[in-house]
Amino acid sequence: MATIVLAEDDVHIMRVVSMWLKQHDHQVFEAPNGKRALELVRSGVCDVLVTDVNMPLMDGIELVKTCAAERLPRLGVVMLTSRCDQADIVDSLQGLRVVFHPKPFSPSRLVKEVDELIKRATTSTPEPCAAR
Amino acid sequence: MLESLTMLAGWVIAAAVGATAGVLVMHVRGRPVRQVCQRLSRVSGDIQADLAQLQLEDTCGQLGAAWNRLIEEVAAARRDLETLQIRQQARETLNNYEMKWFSQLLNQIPYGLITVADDWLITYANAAAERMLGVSEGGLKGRKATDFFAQDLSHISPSAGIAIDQTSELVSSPKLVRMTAVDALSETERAETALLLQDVTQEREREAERSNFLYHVTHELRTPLTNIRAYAETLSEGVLQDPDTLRECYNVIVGETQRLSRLVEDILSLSQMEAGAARIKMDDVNTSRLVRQIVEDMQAQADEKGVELILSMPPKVPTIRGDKERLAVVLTNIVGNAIKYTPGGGRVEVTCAQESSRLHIKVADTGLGIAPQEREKVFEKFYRSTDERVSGLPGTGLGLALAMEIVRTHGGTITLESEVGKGSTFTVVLPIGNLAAIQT
Repeated sequence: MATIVLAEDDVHIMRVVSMWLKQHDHQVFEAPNGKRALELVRSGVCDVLVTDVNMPLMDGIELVKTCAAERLPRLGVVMLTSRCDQADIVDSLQGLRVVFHPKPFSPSRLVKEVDELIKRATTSTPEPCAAR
Repeated sequence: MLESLTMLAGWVIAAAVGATAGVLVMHVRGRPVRQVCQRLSRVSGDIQADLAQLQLEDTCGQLGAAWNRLIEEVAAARRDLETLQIRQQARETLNNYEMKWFSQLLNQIPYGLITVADDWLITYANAAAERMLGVSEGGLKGRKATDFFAQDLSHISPSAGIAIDQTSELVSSPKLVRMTAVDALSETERAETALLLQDVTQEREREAERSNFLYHVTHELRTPLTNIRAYAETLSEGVLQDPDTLRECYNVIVGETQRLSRLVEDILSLSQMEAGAARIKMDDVNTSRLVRQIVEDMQAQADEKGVELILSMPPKVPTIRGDKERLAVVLTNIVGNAIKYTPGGGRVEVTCAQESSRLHIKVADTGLGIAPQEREKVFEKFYRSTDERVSGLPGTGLGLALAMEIVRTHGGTITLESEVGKGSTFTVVLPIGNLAAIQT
């Protein structure tokens, strides 16, 4: 089990992803925008950040960059993005340990991805941060 | 050819003079010689002179015959020479005329054309090239073509010929110019390259707009698709037992499918309107009935939200010429937005009024209001307010763009007045087609 901050501005996506993560025994903190997500990550409750890219107040890229600068969250970041944006986003987040998950996505595969990230991070990563 | 004939003529005349000089030595006191001399002076003075055969006496018979032949040859050579000179002059005149005509033609074409030497020095430029590069008439010749482009082109050799195809901004302006080599001079011996210059600024802007539109379309399509896929998988996994949650999942799928349909419909309508390909069925529209119908249709949405929806119509409302279905889209989008962005307990009022030859339909709400910096942008495609209270609500960002395009097609306008926290008023102004037709 891990604590996950889920940053997503679409209520339906938020609801279904949250539902799946909880069913896999994760504790989920929901944030409708990047700013709220950053507050939650900074509060120390976050093992994994799952974030959308386009969000009000603070977008996913700025959120991830800010988190990386503060060596947060503990285990890693999953970014929900479109395939066509991925190359640009990967460039802008170069050097940061981020797993990209394309939209539209399968919630079961997303949960699997999160579980694998947690497994990898807890077994092989000595540094508790998203940034390398 | 002309030169060789000139030489031949000169040589013949020189030979004739030489021969005559010999005769002079031999017959210095004889009459035939004097005759020859007289003829010589006549022939050399005027080639068109009478070339009647000389009647020489016996002692000079042979010389006379030879002389006559010589004279004929000289005359023929000079005639040829004159013909050639006339031809040469005609050719020069024609060439000059052609050059002038060609130069005028090149100055008329809308594309810039320059010729450059191997070091990029411009040897010719037409008027369009001068205008494009911002130089006055004759100001390009002798200057380096590469100096006008922001992109460094110095590594390219003009002799690369048809391989040149570069697009760059200009140094003096943000104009985007495409430079392509023309193969025309490769057949000639001139060590120059002709380059065609095209202002592609607008073309690139249109391309960027199209790409931007496609980018937004795909992004907007992705969210409902993500939801449909995620909720359908959730249902198919059979992990949910609670009937309320199951129903909610079905509702999301149905709602997102409708959203997807609306989005596709709006995108198609807007694209057709913008491309001028939309079929507009102009008819007499009973405005009173149309506005009443829209308000009635939106009543359920207003009630659900707890927003009071009021319709104020004067007793007489003029008919307008327009496409009823498309005007219904305009009013549905504007009234729908007003209800959506007005919190429960608020009010949306729809009023109609005739002002001279125009019909004003106002939709005023007591909603969130629109910040001054966003008032122009709300009519842009895919624009969604950064206000969290707005962006959190469902919307395609196409409704007002489509409404604006439809109203514009009808020769009308949409204006917006707004105050943050107090509300917004959208006014649709449409020309009245037939002032005589007033509905009650």
